[in-house]
Amino acid sequence: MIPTRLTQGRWGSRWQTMYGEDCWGFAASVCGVHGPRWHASGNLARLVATAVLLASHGSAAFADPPPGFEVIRVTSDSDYEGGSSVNNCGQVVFDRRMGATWAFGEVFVYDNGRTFRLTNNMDRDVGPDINDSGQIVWARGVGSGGASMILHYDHGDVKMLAQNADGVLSPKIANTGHCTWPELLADGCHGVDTRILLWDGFGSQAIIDAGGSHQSPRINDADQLVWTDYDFCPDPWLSDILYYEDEEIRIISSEDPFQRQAATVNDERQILWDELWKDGEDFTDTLILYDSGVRTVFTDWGEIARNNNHGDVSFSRWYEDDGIYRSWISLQGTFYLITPDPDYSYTTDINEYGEVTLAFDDYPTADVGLMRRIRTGEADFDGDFDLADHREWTRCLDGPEFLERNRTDPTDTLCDCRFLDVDHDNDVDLRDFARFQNAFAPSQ
Amino acid sequence: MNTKYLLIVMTIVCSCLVAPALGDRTFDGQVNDQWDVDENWNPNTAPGEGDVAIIPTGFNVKIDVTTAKAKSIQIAEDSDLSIERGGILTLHGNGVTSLIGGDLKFAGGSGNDPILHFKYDHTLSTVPNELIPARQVIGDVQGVIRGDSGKVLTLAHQGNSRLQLTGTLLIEIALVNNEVVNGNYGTISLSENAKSGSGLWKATQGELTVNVEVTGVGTWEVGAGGTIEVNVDLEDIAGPVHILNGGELLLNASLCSPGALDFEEGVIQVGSASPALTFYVGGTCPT
Repeated sequence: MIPTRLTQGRWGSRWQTMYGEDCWGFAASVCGVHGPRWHASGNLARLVATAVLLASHGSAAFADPPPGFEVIRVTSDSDYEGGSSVNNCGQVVFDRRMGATWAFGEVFVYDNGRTFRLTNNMDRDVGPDINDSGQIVWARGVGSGGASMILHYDHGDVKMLAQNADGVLSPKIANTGHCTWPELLADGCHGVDTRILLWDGFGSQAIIDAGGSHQSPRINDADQLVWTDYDFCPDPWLSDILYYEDEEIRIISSEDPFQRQAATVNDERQILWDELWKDGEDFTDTLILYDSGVRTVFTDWGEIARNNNHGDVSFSRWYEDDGIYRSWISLQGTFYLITPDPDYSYTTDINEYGEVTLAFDDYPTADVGLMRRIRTGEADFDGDFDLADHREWTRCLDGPEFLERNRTDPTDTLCDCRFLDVDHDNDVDLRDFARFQNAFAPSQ
Repeated sequence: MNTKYLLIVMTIVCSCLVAPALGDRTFDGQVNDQWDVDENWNPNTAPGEGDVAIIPTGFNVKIDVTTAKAKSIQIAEDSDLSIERGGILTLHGNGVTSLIGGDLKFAGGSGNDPILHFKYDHTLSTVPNELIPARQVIGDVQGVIRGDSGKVLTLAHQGNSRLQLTGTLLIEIALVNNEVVNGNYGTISLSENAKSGSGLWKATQGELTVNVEVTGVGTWEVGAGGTIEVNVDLEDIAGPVHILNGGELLLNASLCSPGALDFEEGVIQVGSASPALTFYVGGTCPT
């Protein structure tokens, strides 16, 4: 039997003991924003490195990934891969351009060191998303045409959720199995109006049908949606962030004529989006946090945010001098630079464990990256090897090559038991357990 | 120094530095060929006025009946950007250069004439080290090149390739033509704001209509099947005028240049206003 997938909420309190004692912060009182927080420990060299980073780039904290995390390349080749997202089982879906154009795009699933090709045809398969049950949705264009279908994969079963000759844009799926996507409409003053659809497992309904170019919806597990409502008719175009809950839609962005994009929502109804702030000819890309009806500046230097239910936020910052994006995470309120190397990278998704998918984009090649937790034999990441961890070992222990021998579908996974697969060989066996046994200290 | 104290000082100093400018957006056409679709760009948002919009090799990107904006654009070789009727592309960069490695087209569709709008002074240039001889801003339908009041568009090149404005265009913005403006298989109208530059003003198999003052040392050339129509006095030009076989210079206003007249079986037609055509080779035009 494949180990069970993540049970929602079981890690709910783990963050309180991770860094809280050692952190202290004050930047919010300096510039009126959620700013960097500082870790009091660390040697002088690290301090100097941090100071250099600060002097160069203004708002920062640590110039390395968070403690306990590592960055890997999910793909490392000459192809162009992107569109990645990650679920709480650590599975990453992404698309790959098979040639010079997306007319031959395919969807892939990465899980614990293995990569599986989910589609294999002459069509444009792009923009995948995956939930914790391993259900995957993506958009397909037939032949060289633009995307016109929404497809749904569930342990070998593929069905088409929608078909629209005018076009569809990439879908998102919640852990409820419900999903959302935009459909193009060949009318409106734009001729490129789009509407937002919500599929509840049985059928789809239009959440908003009125004029406007409604794009990039995100959905949480309570069927609450956020998206960008572009008005491309005036010059320059305008946009608002719209929020859907219980059959009501409301604008949650301010009345100021900012350009707003890339909204995201977690299950706590915390919403983030980009806003372009303009002062004369100077711009700043600001991340706005909307929480309990209040808008605050999350950071005055950031774009393309994703948040999890703990309030952790992955986002990206543009470095003008280097001409690149770099990936950042706010983990329990502390800011970390995920990609200090001079690679062009930006974040694409975050899961409940703070693991983040990355796009290493160096067109015409691009790779998918993952900031994942380093496996030490600890199950709950609270800094010790105690009986709580041992209980997880009892639950997850299987045998050599367990998943390889029992896999019946590309989406079969160790899920949260992967953290105990210390040697990354797709099982939780005695070889892994030995590591834990040596470190076991129940009195800590 | 106490570690915490040092960190406090650093944070106070550094948190108040100005945040950097915005990033760039690279078109990858993941969903279709439309400019205004978030997912067609990396990162996944359509370009805003602070973003450099990069179109890599191999794409034909469309701006249809919509408004698009960017700080500047970079069109790679073998890629096109088409602004269709009803579409507007506004470039907000101030003193920056957009790179034209492929073609920037004004194309079909329905609605008003497509517009390329510059909010500030801007330069259009070919890409560096380009071996193909010419890159084009071309009006397959009438395209309007417009600027905010007092703003200037400069044409330039890098490497071996020259930049050419051609087809059917209504050029309203103040233009510094250091490249080629060629009424070829269409009509280019120079209107609204004065033009200048050291480049080539040309009409071959098409028309170049001069409705505003033009100055500078640029060369004028009318070739087979082409007409240059002068509707305002051109008395501050300094370059030569070549009337080649089959070309026509139609004067509805006076033209005077200290440059040479090179006449090769073309036609000089004088309008009813009896304008003067004068060449002071080696001298200066009388004021």
